[in-house]
Amino acid sequence: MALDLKSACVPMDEKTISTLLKEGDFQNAFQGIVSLYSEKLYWHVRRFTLCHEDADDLVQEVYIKIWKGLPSFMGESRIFTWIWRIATNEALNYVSRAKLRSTLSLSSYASRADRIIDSDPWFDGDAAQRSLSKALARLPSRQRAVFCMRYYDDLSYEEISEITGTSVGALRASYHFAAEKVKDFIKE
Amino acid sequence: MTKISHTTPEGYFDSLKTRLSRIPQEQDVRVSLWQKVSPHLAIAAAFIAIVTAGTAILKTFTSTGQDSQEELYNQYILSDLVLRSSNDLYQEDVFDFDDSDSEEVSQEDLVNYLIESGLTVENIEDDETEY
Repeated sequence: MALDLKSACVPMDEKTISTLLKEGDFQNAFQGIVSLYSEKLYWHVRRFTLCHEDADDLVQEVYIKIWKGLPSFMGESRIFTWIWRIATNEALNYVSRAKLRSTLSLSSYASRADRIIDSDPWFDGDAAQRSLSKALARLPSRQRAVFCMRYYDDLSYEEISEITGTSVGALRASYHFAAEKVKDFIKE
Repeated sequence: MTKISHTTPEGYFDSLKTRLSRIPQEQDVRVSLWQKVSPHLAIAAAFIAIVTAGTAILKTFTSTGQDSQEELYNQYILSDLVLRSSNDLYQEDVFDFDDSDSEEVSQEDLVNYLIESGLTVENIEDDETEY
């Protein structure tokens, strides 16, 4: 099971990765997952961490979990769904820890998020996008995850349902409430 | 991609891919014996199932070939005499309404949301709500 360095450079599709996994070639399957999803995954977790450095750490933690979990991946769901489930859970755990840290330091998570967004050297959006980032930080974690997967990742409710294990109807309502809260915050 | 309002350091994604590619060398993953042999066992089981099913089908057709042909003929002749129940008619996919892309939130969606989140209507607007 030697690492084929060529596969680290050649983009693979999900079907090829599935075939490699079925053959037990975890190393090359992992390289395929890196080449196919690392950039998308970075942006997915970036929306929860707010700053680049934390997103960089979190992506690496997610990929370590993916690598450790590959032998037990049974192929019951799409690889994409499985990866997004791991990443979303890790991101939600990150937000929970950040909220706890804010509570311990006697400040609110929202005000800490505002400070990070305002001083982010890698932010290059306009005032409306800054406002949207702040509004997202104020959403309850799961609503935020649903909103990000629907709005930014363009996932269907069915895909989000597979990732989160929540019914499509509940997700639709969750997105609706999140969108209303975001609109209210931006209006203010 | 137009929704992205952030940038990253120059060459960041190339560097990220290189670092992520090294994870297998740095993190040891133990593969159990079952995980190693299970693909081979699955192929063997599928082969046995195909041979068993093939043998069973072959036996059925060779022993009662004449009978089954007569039965099939009778079924064909009598097929028009079998009434269909009203339930059968309703179960057909004649009206295949696909509303999966609809953005409308129905009453049922709201009920599902409340059930799955364990919320009451009063605290939907509460910012600490976890759904």
